[in-house]
Amino acid sequence: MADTDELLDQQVHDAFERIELGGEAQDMMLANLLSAQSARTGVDDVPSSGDAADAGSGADVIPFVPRRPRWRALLPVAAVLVAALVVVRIGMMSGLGQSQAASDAGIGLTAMPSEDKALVEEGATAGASNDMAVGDMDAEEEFSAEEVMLDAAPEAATERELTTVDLCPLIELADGRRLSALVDGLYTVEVDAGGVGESVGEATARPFDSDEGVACTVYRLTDGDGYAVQYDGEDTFWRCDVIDDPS
Amino acid sequence: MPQTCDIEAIFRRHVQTVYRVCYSFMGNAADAEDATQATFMKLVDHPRSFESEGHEKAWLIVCASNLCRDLLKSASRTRVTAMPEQEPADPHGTDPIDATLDAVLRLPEKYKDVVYLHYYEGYKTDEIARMLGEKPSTVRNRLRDARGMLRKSLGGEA
Repeated sequence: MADTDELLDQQVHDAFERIELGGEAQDMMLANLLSAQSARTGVDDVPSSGDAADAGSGADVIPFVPRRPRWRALLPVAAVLVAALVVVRIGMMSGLGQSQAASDAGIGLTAMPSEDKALVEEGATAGASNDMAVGDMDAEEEFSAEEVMLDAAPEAATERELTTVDLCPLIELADGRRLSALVDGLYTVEVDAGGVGESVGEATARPFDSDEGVACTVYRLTDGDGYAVQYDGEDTFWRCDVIDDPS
Repeated sequence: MPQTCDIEAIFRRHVQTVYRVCYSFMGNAADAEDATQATFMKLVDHPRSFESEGHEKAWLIVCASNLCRDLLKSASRTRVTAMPEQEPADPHGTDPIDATLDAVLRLPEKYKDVVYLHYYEGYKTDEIARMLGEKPSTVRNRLRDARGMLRKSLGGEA
């Protein structure tokens, strides 16, 4: 059984190992990312994907255009087919009404009764509005696909706008103690103001990879171990833990 | 305060990892590529600093998994009944499909990141639990169930 488990483990590992992104796709992706990054750092407002090309980084800019899933590419074709069927059906119905009326009245087909004319006109309007609906649906579909690819949130922590705690999670107290506002090294946790106790002291918060920081104050939590940090000029308290204590 | 990160270095370090996670969710190369790019685009849009390369990798894996879940949820909402269901992978295409990978791709969504993190990345149950915000017992159960499903799918092969 143990051998079987090991074999299965190895098979699954090897299967993942065979999934590999080709060099060309990597290059294309990296070019897109670098273009987007230079476009974003070059202007105050975060541009949309289309603006990335306009912002101009000097390099060849390839706007980020997510590829549509294969089944989704068929949607416009399906919508057009449905619209065409509706138009044909309405046409057949009006033709039937026309011949029936002609036969009943004993007049030629060219002399169309007014109600049938109205029906045909209504049909044309219905066809036009149907076309419009198809167009709208397609546009909406495009928008939602774009929106999903660009803005789909991976989780709550990345959904909200990044704040100081995301950028400066490393906190250094004057006595040399270092704290991290990343719980388990991954997440930021907001602390209720009611659970915040006495001040431990003023501190400097900075990114892990930079010396440039911002001022903050560290507090002790009232229940149990642990600390909270409040960045200067902000109201929120964030949970933080000691990661390095020189004493 | 730095507002950008070295996206090129991060991309080169973790692109294959992110792609593997995305492929295991999306089941085909085209969607996996889109999801991979969208994952890194999150970092471009919202630069942040990381404690270590391990932290960087863990963040990207969790971000990619959640993004793929969102995409799949969105796709299932907009899927039209007349359209054929997407196959997990095209056996006659260029996707690197085989029986084991096919079995992994056919696992229900909730098992995929756990299986990847354990079998390929070699993370321990507790580490996976912390990364995904789940209880260790939940992760252990998912791994046990996934192993059972894989064994069943692969028949006598494993």
